[in-house]
Amino acid sequence: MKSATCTLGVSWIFAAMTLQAQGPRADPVAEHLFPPDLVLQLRSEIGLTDEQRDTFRAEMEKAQPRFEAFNQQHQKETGELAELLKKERVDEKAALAQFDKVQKLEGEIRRAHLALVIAIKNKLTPGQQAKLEELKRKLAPSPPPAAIVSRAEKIKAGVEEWQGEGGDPSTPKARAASARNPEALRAEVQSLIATSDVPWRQITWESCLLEGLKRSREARKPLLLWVFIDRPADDRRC
Amino acid sequence: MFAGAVRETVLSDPKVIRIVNAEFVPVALKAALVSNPPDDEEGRLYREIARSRIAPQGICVANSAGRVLGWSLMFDNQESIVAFLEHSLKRFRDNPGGKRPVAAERYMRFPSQRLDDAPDSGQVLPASDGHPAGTTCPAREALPPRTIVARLIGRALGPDGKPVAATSSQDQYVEDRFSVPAPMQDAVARAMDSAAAHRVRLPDEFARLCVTHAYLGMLDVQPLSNPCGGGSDLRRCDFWAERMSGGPGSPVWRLEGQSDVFTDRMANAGPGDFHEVGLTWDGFIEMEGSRMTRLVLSAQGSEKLKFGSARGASAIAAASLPAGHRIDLECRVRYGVLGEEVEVAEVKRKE
Repeated sequence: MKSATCTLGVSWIFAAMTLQAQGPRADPVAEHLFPPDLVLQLRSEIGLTDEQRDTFRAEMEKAQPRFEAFNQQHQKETGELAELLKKERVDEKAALAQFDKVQKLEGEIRRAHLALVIAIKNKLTPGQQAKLEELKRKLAPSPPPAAIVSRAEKIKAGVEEWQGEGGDPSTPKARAASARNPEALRAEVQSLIATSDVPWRQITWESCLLEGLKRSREARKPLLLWVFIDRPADDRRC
Repeated sequence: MFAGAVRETVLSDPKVIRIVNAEFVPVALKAALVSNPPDDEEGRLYREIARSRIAPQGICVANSAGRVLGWSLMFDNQESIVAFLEHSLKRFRDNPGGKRPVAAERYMRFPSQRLDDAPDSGQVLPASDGHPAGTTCPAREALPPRTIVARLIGRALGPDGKPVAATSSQDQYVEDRFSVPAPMQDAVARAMDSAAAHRVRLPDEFARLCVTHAYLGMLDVQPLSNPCGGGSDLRRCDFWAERMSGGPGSPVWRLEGQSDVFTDRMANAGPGDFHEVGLTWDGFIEMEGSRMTRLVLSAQGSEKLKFGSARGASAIAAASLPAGHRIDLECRVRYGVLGEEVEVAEVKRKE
């Protein structure tokens, strides 16, 4: 049942490939196929032509609405299955019929996905396929070597050091460190904000006319009205 | 252009800043609100301001009753800005509360180009301490629930690869804001849910939104969807997302993308003017169901901008505020975007 309700994703084949690649068992189906994103990521290594790249992107974009429809349908069917199963007394006939519907739909999704992968494979030259096989083997995740673990720790320490120093976004170290870390990237972006020496920030503008007039009466000062298109008084472009 | 030029030329002058902070109550008003005020007592105040104006935008001084004492669009030179403020202060002292009729002085350029005064309307203007109960200020921006407000920072980089120090001109340092509305977040979530691969192309509308705001300079030089309606050559604009490790339920997606846009049709531009921005993007999107909860983006690349090429370099920026200054920019650039869900207080509540 878990497989019916939880494992479905339109990236099923690719997810399976990834999982199989991580484990000791080889997957006889996955090892002969290439995920489209992998093909695009390694385009320079395998010598993908611009025409091939555009074709693959077009194939993926064309497939996307169909997968979206599949996904919505799958959510609906699994939702109905869950409704049937949450009752204290489950209508076995109805639940199994709904389960069959879900499984059928999953089969259709997998089939459509396989069709996409085959279409992409068939447009690759034998040389490109061989290169991809080789790269796939090299890229297959394995337990990280001690050197990698050590490097990751150094990067983390580098981020902390960089943040402690106030963060200079121009340093390669900072950029490399933030590449896989949302918080580091956030700190890097924040360091772009000029915190001092922004002259126009030194005037605090009221935006409410009534409030401005009230202050004018109380302080016995005239209003300086800056009438503008868009919103230059705050952090917006003008 | 006017607002950007005023901010850079008038409101960045240390003398002006000192006088404004000490002697005036500074109020920034949207031209759209002055042109189309609400149909109520507050609207009457806006209409009184609009009555004497020279153009949709401008700098104006009014007394505590809301009667306009003077308008100016430009100034003969930098010293004339201070002279205009001092002249206005003197007129305010003569009529601080609007008990006597007062004409609005109008200057195309202060003090040399004076237009006809606008005589006092004779109307009694409302004096209100605030908005009636149950109503909100029309100047307040109201955003629908679930809107992500993204803050963008852009910087020109020097030859050393570091941000240049100058921050008063938007050609070198820009801050901007844009919204990611709920329907667009839904589209992003749908794309992620229906990923045909581990890596998914994000909707073009989302990529375009980010690319539209990533440029240096004022509003007039926007390379994509320029305010003048001029077309752009969007040579490349694709954003991809990949779910970060953490399994299928991980809410964090890593983003990468490329954009390349060119236009030679910009508002108030002339022959030889163009804007070209090429960027490589990366960052993270955090999702919670179909809601985008956080957005952190970074972009770097290069930018070329020529504006006002056919004009001579004006020696007096204060005397050409509507036209702005000439720009000849070619440098490496850096952008950052930080987006979070809008605060409840900013959310528009429909009755």
